[in-house]
Order: sequence, then structure tokens, then C-alpha cells
Amino acid sequence: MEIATHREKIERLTDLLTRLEPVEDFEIWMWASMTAATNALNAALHHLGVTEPGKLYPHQIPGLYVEPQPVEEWHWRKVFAAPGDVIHLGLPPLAGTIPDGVFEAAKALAVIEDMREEYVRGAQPIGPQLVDQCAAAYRSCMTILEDILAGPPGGVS
Amino acid sequence: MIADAHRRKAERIERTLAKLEPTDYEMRIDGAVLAASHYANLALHRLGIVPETHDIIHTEFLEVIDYRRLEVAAGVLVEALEAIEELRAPFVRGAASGGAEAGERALALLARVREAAMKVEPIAVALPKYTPRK
Repeated sequence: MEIATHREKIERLTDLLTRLEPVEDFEIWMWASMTAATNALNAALHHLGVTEPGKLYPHQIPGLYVEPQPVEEWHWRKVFAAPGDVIHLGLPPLAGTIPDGVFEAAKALAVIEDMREEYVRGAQPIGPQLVDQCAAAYRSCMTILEDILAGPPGGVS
Repeated sequence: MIADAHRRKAERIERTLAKLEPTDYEMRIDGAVLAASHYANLALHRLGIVPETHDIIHTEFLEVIDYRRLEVAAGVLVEALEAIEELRAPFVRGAASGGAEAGERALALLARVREAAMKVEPIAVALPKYTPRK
């Protein structure tokens, strides 16, 4: 997706974060944080020239993408394609040099992603400490990626 | 995770889903997937297809033999869950037009998954463990 489209999604997801109660709504609150951060990661990768803002949308099965126009109502054609947007850093693997800043952001994003198994798909107790940990990782990830997006484009081969 | 824990978790996610607006369609879709996956696990455990010690994330990650069994035991559930999953690439990871309608559709499909899951009864016969000979 184009950087502007990633930004539009980030804006709506950030607005949602302010309307949810982090402990009571943790599952969707952390998922919205993770989705916003993944959009920022993709925007930064496009900005740096590591990936192209392709026209295809990534499927959850790595390596598969879907075409934007449905082939019939509520059905989209799945195709194999080279990475445009990634679903996580490394899924699918990227060619070329990944700048350190992106790795740092991805490390912070992984802190949020790692909460899925125990607290979203599992039923471990959710409390303020977990919320603080998630919020800190989100802030750290977004700060790095916003800095990248504010910097000069391209420059990575 | 035990079946009742899946039900409680799904209901908790559904309480949050009730707070979302049409413009929050990405989280309506992903939230529906998450809640529906808990209902799917509840069904798999109650049917006796998959033990409570093993949860699935997506139907793609089920062994084909168990997927076929689930299709027979709870076809509506499988169809509705996969129809929600179908919305993720175009509307959550993509920017296809009609996001608000897709979000509404995800919630309607989740209701079908919930209804189907709550109806399942244990399969009356013992399911043979089958490993093909190499």
C-alpha cells in the first residue's frame, strides 16, 4: 500500500486506542497497537526503498498476496508475489540491507506481538503492568518509525 | 485451553467489539477473527476432534484430517470463520473499498460462528487416530 494509505490507517487506529479501556479491552487495544505499528513499519520500509508500495495486499500465508479487486462478491484472487507489504519483519523475508533503526523498531513491535499467545489467544490475567509494557513498546516502535519517515527517503540498496 | 475458557475469552472480545464504530473496520474484522477462533477451539474441544491441550490459530493450521472432520461436524462454523478470514487481506492489510460494510459482515459472520459453536455436541463415536504408513 502507498505510504499515505498506511498513514490513514495509523490515524484511525490511533483514534481507536484513545476510545478503548486498555485493561478491559486489552485484546483489541493491543491488536490495534500492533496493527498501527505494522503499518508504520511498512511505510518506513517503503520510504527507505527496502520494499515497494505494491498494489497487492498480503495474505496471512507468507508469500501469498490478494488482488485489490474482488473476483466475485467477498472473494479475492490469491497470487504469489514478491514482498510489497510484510505482515511481520521477515515474513516474507526481504532482500537487501535492513537499516538498524528498522530492526530496533521491529524488536519493540515483537514485544507486542509476543503478547498474543498468552493474553489474546490464551487466557493469562491482564493487568496494568502488561498494559504499561505494551504501551512502552508501542511508543518506542512508533517513535523510531516516525523518525525514519521524517528523514530522507531511499538510500538503501 | 478448556472450552469454557475459550467461551469466556470470546465473550470478552465481543464486549469490546460492541464499542467499535463502522470506521474501526480493521479491528471489527480482526476482533471477529479472534473471537471466532476461540469459538472454533471451543467447538473442536467439545467435539473431541482436538484436545484441550492443543489450540488452533487458523483453520489452515489444522491437520487436514481434523479439518475434514470439523467440516462434517460443524460446516457452518468453518464456512463462516473462513469468510471472516477472507476479509483480512483486502481490508485489514489492504485498502479495498467498502471497509465499513466488510466490518459489518465480519460481525454478522461472528454471530454465525458463535451460534454454530454453542450447538455442537461431542461426536458420539471414538475418532480413530490415523497416521499414514511411510
